[in-house]
Amino acid sequence: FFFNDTATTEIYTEQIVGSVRCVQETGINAEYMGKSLYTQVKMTKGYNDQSFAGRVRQYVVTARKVPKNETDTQEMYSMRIFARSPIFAKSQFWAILKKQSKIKGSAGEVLSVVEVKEKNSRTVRTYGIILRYQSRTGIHNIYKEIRDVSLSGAVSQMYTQMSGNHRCNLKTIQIIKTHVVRKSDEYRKEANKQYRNSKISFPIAKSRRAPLKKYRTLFKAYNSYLSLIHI
Amino acid sequence: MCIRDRYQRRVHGEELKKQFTRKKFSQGKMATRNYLKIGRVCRINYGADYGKHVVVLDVIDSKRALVEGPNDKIPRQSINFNRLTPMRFVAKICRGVHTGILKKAIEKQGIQRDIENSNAYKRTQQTKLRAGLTDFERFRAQVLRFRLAKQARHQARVLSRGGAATKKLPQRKSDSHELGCRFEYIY
Repeated sequence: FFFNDTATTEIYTEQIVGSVRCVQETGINAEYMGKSLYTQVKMTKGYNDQSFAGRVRQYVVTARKVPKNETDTQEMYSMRIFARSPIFAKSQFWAILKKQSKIKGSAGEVLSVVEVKEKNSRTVRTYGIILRYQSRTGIHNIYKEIRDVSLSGAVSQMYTQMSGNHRCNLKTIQIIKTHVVRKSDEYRKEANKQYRNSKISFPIAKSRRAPLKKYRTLFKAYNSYLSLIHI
Repeated sequence: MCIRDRYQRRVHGEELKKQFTRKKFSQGKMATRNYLKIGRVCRINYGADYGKHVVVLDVIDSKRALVEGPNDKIPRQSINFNRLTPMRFVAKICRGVHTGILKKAIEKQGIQRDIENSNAYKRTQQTKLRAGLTDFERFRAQVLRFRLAKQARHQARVLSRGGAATKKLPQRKSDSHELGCRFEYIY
């Protein structure tokens, strides 16, 4: 709806349920009006915040139950988590730890969250990822083989694939194991084996498009050059 | 009709057929493809690095390649095939070579020279040149173009009347290049 009158702020606050900004003062930031909660959070945090990126990073989260006093020692738990940001990593960590032990996030303290950066992102590797996911009908294990330059890149691709092919949410996926597939007989997907060929040679379709996003237009003065694209 | 006549007709007919069949697209120049392979030099045709050249080091999957362009300061990265236009030259390198070896190979095999001699590169240089011309330079270019066109028209008239083509007409070549005129004026 389009709201012009600033006098009747009471009615305005009643109607916007779930807005991030609670209208206590008379003014309201016009940019936040009419936007969904997700968009408002995104605007507040910044559009380029890593929490909103599709890319998943690898973290090692270490935590323990809060010790009762100075002499009390608690066992430390360390987990490798794939998440979009350290906040998500911690959240995932506690969700999984709670299932394995009696420790809750509220009773524990996180000792460190360290991002694991890929040592070598200059060579292409095939990553085998075993994961557990929840489908609409049940819980399954699945093996995915993904070619990428880094492990976090491969896991990001995996999440996209799972969501696209299996309609699977990021939250319902638990990664069991990741490894690098090295030998040709370890490959389980034929499609990935073909890239091992150093004599690989294939044509690519010519993409005829504007060189920059700003030059994109809806109408073009030329015919569609479908004949140039060899399938 | 004797066999010889029939043979002549058949051969003549085939010749006629050749003359009048339209060249299909697949036979034309447009569709000669430069296959993507390891070592292939490509031009980036989209994005921030538009117009720069890279060498394909490895193929990641059906959509991406691992590339690096040391001459254009493009770090090693994965790039979508859609962003690449393969060129006619291939660098002889092994799969996924180190940057140093790649640099050496490019130097030794004269890849940069090949790139600079390619029409696409020349075109980009010319476009840049034209974009940076001052108003006076643009006027000079116009004067030059008109003069060359006049000469060409004169030549065409002479030839159509059955006269002999004169030798290449004098033209201040340095002018045309610095003003971004067409790099070839065909007589």
